[in-house]
Amino acid sequence: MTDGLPNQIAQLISELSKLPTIGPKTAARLAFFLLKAPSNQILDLERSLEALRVDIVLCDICFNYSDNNPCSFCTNSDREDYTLCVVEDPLDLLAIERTGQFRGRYHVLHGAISPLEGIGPGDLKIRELVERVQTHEIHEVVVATNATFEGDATALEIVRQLESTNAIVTRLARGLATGGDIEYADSATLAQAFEGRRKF
Amino acid sequence: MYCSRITLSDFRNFEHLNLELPNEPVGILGQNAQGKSNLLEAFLVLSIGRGRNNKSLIELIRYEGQRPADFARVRGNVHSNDQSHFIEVVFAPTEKDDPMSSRASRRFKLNGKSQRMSDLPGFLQTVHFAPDDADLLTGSPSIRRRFIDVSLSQMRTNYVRALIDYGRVLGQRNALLRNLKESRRNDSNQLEYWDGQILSLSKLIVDARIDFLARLSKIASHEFSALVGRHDDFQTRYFQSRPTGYENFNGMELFSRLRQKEVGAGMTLVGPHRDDVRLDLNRRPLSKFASRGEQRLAVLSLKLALMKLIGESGNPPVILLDDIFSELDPEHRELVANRILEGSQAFVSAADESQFPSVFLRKSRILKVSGGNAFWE
Ligand SMILES: [Zn+2]
Repeated sequence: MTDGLPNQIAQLISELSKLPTIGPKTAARLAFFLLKAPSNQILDLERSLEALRVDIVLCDICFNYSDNNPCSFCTNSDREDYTLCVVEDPLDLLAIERTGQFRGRYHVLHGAISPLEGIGPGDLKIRELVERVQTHEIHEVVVATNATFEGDATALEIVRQLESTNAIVTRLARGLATGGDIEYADSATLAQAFEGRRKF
Repeated sequence: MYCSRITLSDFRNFEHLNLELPNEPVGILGQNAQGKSNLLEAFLVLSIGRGRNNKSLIELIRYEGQRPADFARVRGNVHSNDQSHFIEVVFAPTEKDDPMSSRASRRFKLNGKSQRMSDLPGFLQTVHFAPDDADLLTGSPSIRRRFIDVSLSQMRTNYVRALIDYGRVLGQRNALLRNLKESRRNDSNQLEYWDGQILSLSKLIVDARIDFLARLSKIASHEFSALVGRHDDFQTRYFQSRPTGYENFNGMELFSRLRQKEVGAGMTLVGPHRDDVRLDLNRRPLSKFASRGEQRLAVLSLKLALMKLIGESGNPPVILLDDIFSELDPEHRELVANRILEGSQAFVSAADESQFPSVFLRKSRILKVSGGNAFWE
């Protein structure tokens, strides 16, 4: 479908179509939009992509994306140290932050257990979580994985691995619809789920 | 229950069709390959979101030469007791640019709002009679499971959800077993979670199926007696799949005994996705010991029973009868026609008007289908 196009445009289309939810048609539309866009808009886009590559790192403590290491969630002295909230993805962290219900620290797993996608416990930041709980004074670990089979399997694995520690492990209440992604839950529902969290 | 209007765009061989429909029996006449079955299939789409025999979704889209159209759309206004809904189902090729692509995605809107596909079944309840229904007896177990699943989906709102969840958990469990087989990882303690999930979903599905079959066969037994004119013992038996030697085990115990076998196979060896049903006449399997004629009537009585069972909720289903009169003798045609006339709306197709019993002709309107178009007579 890119036959007859200059190489540079074909290359851009091919790169864009590697992005999630972008098919070849949309990729072509985006490429031609960019061709027509004013040059300062292109420069801004270039700069943000460059900044993403150069400035953004994984926080060594919580594994959230940040421009500082450790990140501001981990260094903010207003947040309390004794409670950890475990999420699958950085976007889930933001969703929980929006509820204003949680003042502790975070831990990002970067996924959930899914044999179909070849993701086992060892591919997630679970070992790092256990280490963190063992070496810091943490009273409660709130597992806020998605209300999906994969999220549940992950939660159970976390409970198993934290059994030997002194921390209490809790799980968000089932206010969330089954199959529900935390990222898409509205703040009120999520706040309720937080309020009603239960011990395993 | 009835459908007051159906609109098709690039669906099967219909480029465009917009029909207002009476709440009464409709006879559909037309030569072969003009679109009679396709029109009936459109009602099936409004009912369960897919076509006959689990055919691939892309086949529902009209082809313009070598390429599928941009999308196929079926819209219908459906009414039950005091509720009215506007249903829209759209199928689109997943990769329009690739003419060889064989896949399509589907969307469902209820009253203009997008909904999950799994929430569709139930708004328009249908019972579909087709010439290949005898496969229910003689075909593979998957045909029997599909009959039960399609029927139950329309009657129990949470059944489709359970099937979808089951499919998802089964996929994960199979992947884990495959990993263990190829010993890519040592995640055997991971099985415990998926075992528990698959067992509770299995129980939900199997319980619903057994309950459905018990109620269905009770009615079907009466229907069968009426059709053959004598009293026979007509029964269904549900078989939970078990490898030889494991027949007496269930639940977690079954899984733990099967562990090595399942890891060796790299997949789940038991569960509702492998179960089967046997239909017995006088305690002998119908598929082996009955004549072709008896088999046809047995399947017919199952469908008639399903009509009654769905109707018990107070809403008789819409009947879709795809050219089955040609296979019946005049006496049975009339019996079936009378049963259809007792109900609500029905669409009955035939290649020739002479196949309609006179009692049906007196009480129905005739729609002629030709070359992807339809006209009231
Ligand atoms: Zn951090």
